Amino acid sequence: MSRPAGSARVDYRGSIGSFLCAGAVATVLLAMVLLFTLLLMRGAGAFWPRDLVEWKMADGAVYLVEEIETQADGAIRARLANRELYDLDFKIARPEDILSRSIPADALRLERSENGPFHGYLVSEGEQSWRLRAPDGAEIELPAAEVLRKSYPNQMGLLQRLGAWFAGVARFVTDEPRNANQEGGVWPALVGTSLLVILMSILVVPFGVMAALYLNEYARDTWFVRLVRVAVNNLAGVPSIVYGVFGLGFLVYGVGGALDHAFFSDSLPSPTFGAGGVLWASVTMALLTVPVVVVATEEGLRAVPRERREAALALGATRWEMLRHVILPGARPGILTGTILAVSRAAGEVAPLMLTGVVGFARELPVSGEFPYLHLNERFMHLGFHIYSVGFQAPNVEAAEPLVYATSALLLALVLLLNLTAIRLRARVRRSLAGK
Amino acid sequence: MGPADYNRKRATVDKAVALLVRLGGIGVVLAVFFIAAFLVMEAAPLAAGPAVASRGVLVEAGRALAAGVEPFAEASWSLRQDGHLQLRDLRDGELIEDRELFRLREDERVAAVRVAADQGSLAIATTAGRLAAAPLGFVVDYGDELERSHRLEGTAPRWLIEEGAGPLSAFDHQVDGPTVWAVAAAADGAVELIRGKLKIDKLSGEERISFRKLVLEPQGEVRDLALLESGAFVAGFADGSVRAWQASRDFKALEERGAGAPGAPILQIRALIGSGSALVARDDGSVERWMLKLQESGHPVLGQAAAMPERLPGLRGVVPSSRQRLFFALGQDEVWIGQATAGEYLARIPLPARVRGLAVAPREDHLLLLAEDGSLELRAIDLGFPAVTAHTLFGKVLYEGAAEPAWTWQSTGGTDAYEPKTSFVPLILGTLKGTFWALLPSIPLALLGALFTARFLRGRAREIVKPAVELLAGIPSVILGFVAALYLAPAIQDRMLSIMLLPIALVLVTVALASVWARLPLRKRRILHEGLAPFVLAGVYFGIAWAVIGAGPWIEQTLFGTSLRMWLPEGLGLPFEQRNAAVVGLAMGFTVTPLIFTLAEDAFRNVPETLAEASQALGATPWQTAVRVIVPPAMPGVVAAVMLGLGRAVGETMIVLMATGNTPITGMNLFQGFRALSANLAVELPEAPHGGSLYRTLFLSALMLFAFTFVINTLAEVVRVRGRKAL
Repeated sequence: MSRPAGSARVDYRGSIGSFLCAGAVATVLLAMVLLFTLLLMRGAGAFWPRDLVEWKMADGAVYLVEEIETQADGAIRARLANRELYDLDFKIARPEDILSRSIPADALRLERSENGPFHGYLVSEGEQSWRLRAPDGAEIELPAAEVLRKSYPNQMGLLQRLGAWFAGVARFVTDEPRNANQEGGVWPALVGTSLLVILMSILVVPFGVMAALYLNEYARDTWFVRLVRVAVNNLAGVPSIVYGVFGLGFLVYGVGGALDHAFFSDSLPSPTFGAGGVLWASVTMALLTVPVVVVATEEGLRAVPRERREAALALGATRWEMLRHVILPGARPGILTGTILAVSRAAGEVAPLMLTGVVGFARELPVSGEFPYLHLNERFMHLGFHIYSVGFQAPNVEAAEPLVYATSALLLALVLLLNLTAIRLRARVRRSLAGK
Repeated sequence: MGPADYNRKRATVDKAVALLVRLGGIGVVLAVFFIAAFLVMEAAPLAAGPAVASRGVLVEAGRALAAGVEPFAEASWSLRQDGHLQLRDLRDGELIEDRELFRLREDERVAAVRVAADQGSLAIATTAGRLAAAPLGFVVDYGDELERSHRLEGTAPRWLIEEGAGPLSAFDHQVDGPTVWAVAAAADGAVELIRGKLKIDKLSGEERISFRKLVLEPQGEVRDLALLESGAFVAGFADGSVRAWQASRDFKALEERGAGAPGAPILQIRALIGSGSALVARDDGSVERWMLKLQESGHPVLGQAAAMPERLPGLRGVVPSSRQRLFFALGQDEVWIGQATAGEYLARIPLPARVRGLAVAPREDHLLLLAEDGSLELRAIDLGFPAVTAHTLFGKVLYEGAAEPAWTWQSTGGTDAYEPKTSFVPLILGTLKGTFWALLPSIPLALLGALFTARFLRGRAREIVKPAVELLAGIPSVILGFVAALYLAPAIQDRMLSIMLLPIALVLVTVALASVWARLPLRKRRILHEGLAPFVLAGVYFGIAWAVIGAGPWIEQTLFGTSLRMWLPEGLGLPFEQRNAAVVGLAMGFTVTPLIFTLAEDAFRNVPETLAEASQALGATPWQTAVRVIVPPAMPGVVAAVMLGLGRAVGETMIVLMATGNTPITGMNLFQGFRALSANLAVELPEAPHGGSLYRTLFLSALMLFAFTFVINTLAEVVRVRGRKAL
């Protein structure tokens, strides 16, 4: 194997191997960037005021549309609006079928409580009703009460559009859904998700921290500790839907049914706790996220230097005092990491909720001004399930798509933010571990 | 408070906390154990066989031709030879009501009684050869203390044959909404099919029934008859042959619908609930299930569906259940409970010797035994969940209406009489299919990427790649499912071929680039720092992907003359679905790849740096070091990572729920969807009645998922711990 340095054989194998490895990383990164771009662009794009384009068609029809994309076959796909006039929400036309495309300055866009948005022109704005002109010239009367917002997108400058975009995002986050969830906002889903993760955290953090303390501080390396570790790993690996099955069978039907018989027998057979609700969903989620908290807390505990424990014990502290004043404060970043990761998991997990009490549309929030303020037995809405329910069960999925993208982008942004925070926190824990 | 007290308090708190923390540790183990135990507990009753009380209530009822009980099993009815229907309270034996249901002529007696499978009506044949049918209904009255009392519903019988020509050798009837069907065989073997349609005159409100009849010339001695759906009937002959006929659509002629070969003489034929099939009992004690199977010609043909495995000595008759495809076969001194779908006997119950007939309560919670001496005995039974057996879950079953035995999952149907089809096989195959296509791209991507990140990336580049992959792992699967179903699936349906060619193209380009790179003088290689390589390659890949995918429709057009999705069904006869396994594989890759990546990266990094340094000091290239020095000791961790990825893919729910059509098929076609165990749970469990057969079947499938992932996770942990010890 003695080769002079200058005449080394060309190392094809090494080069190809490392290039393929680098290529794998490249593929993963590329896929991720493409996915994030798609979601964030489409999600944000749902609120961007687009120009209203007037199409004069070869067959004499006139439309006022928002052009969405040019398809692979060259045809243009555009949103029609004016649901009371057309059967379709979208118009797909080949460019040669469109005689002229213009952007009329006085084109009006109305958001309405019925029939989706309206594209057309304003004739007069009355107290009781508005007179409007449809793109093809026909006059329409609309009760003023149905009008939510009017805008002239073709007259907007970039700044105005930005303003409208921000207002749109704000309304999306704070409004109630309208028209079978296909329009409006996601406020109840946001509230439901928040309540779910709060209840879940209250349950899972103490339990997870105790288990981690046991593994790291109290137990010696016995068969039982190995059993606990296997159990933690298994809890992490059990499919989430199985937790849902357990939640439905044990919590909803078992515990809930027993509670109903004991305390709410008056209202039987209609269930109080014997049906899915935010409490059972939270307990199920807590079970599901135990391993996340345990693993992160353990890491945090290990980051506390041994000397500090010994110092505390040497000063006469009991084990609990040492935990309370030395270890837990030192492990706080770890615990926080675990909590954040658990929250982010619960915010995005949908399958178990489908069995334990999530609904596509809840008439009331699970928190209200009415006694007892917190309605733990109520069914609730959830951002993740909202995506499924609107994207797959809405009466008109195609028309609701922009809102599904917006909801996805919102959920993705939330989860990414949580995970990024957790990753940074954990990096800090690991640095102090390494420095120890 | 003295210091001693204070210290005692401290010690107590310390002990309490220690206890609490231990409970936390034990709690985790208990949680896993309890979830498993609960799933087992909910699924276990499926395995339990039927149980029958060894004795019950005895009531004296006098000699009756037929008897039965009302839905609460608190009163029994019996029909006597003189046409009287009696209702008797089973709690105290009192006669509640005695009604002359069928008005007979002088010297005429009831010769035989037949109760419909759904127990909603009964028919009689008289000694004069006349035939009548009457609804069988009961009314419940609630007293002050909510105690129940029962009476007969006021109903009028309808004569289907008003003038007889001698005794009938066999007959059957069926009430199907406003239509009454009857079939009767005369002693000479001629068979008459009768259809009565009830019409309500719109002006007068008067009910009128119009009868039409078709006659079949004598074919032999008819032993028994049973009506099936839509004017078809099965006849059993003394030579043991079974033949079927059906009225033509215009009710002008009887068309033959096939025949079975001769065998042991026919004892009885009884239609099962829903009238989709009939039980044929023979004198030799065998019981078979026959049904009309739809042929390609469009005409159904009589065929045998299943034969019960054992012959019952001294078989005297079969009584079909009124709720499911279950029957009770009365032997000499025993009752056998048979499952007609699977074709197996579930239980054998010994009886007192003097029993000559039996009836099943409408709710299937009681058996009524008719003794020779006219007494009735009501016994409680618990059938358990007889519709689900190992055979129906895993074996091929010939269901009603099908032509071939098949693995089918279709748990619920439109009517109560629906035959549930609960085979796990299509669901398991679906899960395997999804898992396979998810792991196929994920494993190489994740392992190669992890090796690169662990051994070749340094400094800032690694600080970007690792967290990025962790972020990717955190994407909610509902988002991936949504993107896969509503963006990816429609976007790539015309570019399927290029999606499959893309990996090959990328590998080829990478190999080409690497070969050029290897020949570059070292000095020139400095232009590209190793940490930058993935980012540069990502740019190159984007360009190639854009080109290959953009050219997709053109490639398919050139190769097939049409798109792949049109060519597959037209050219190869393979179905193509927009939401198919390829789309699921791609989408699941987004969750499985980062999981395997992160775990494998940890495994590669845990190999001590000293090994790598020693290897390179001896002159090995970085690549040789990675492959020969780093990979072997990291292997256990890598295997564990792949296993955990497998577990994740098996349990993934939302992506397979959204990105497939959820059709439970058994094919392995890449361009079709499937239904996975997990998605099936999400779809069906919310609708399954609590505690019912389907509910428990679904719990069993959840238990299977749990058990599978439990084994995978435990094995992975064992492998990983062993590997770590070896280091």
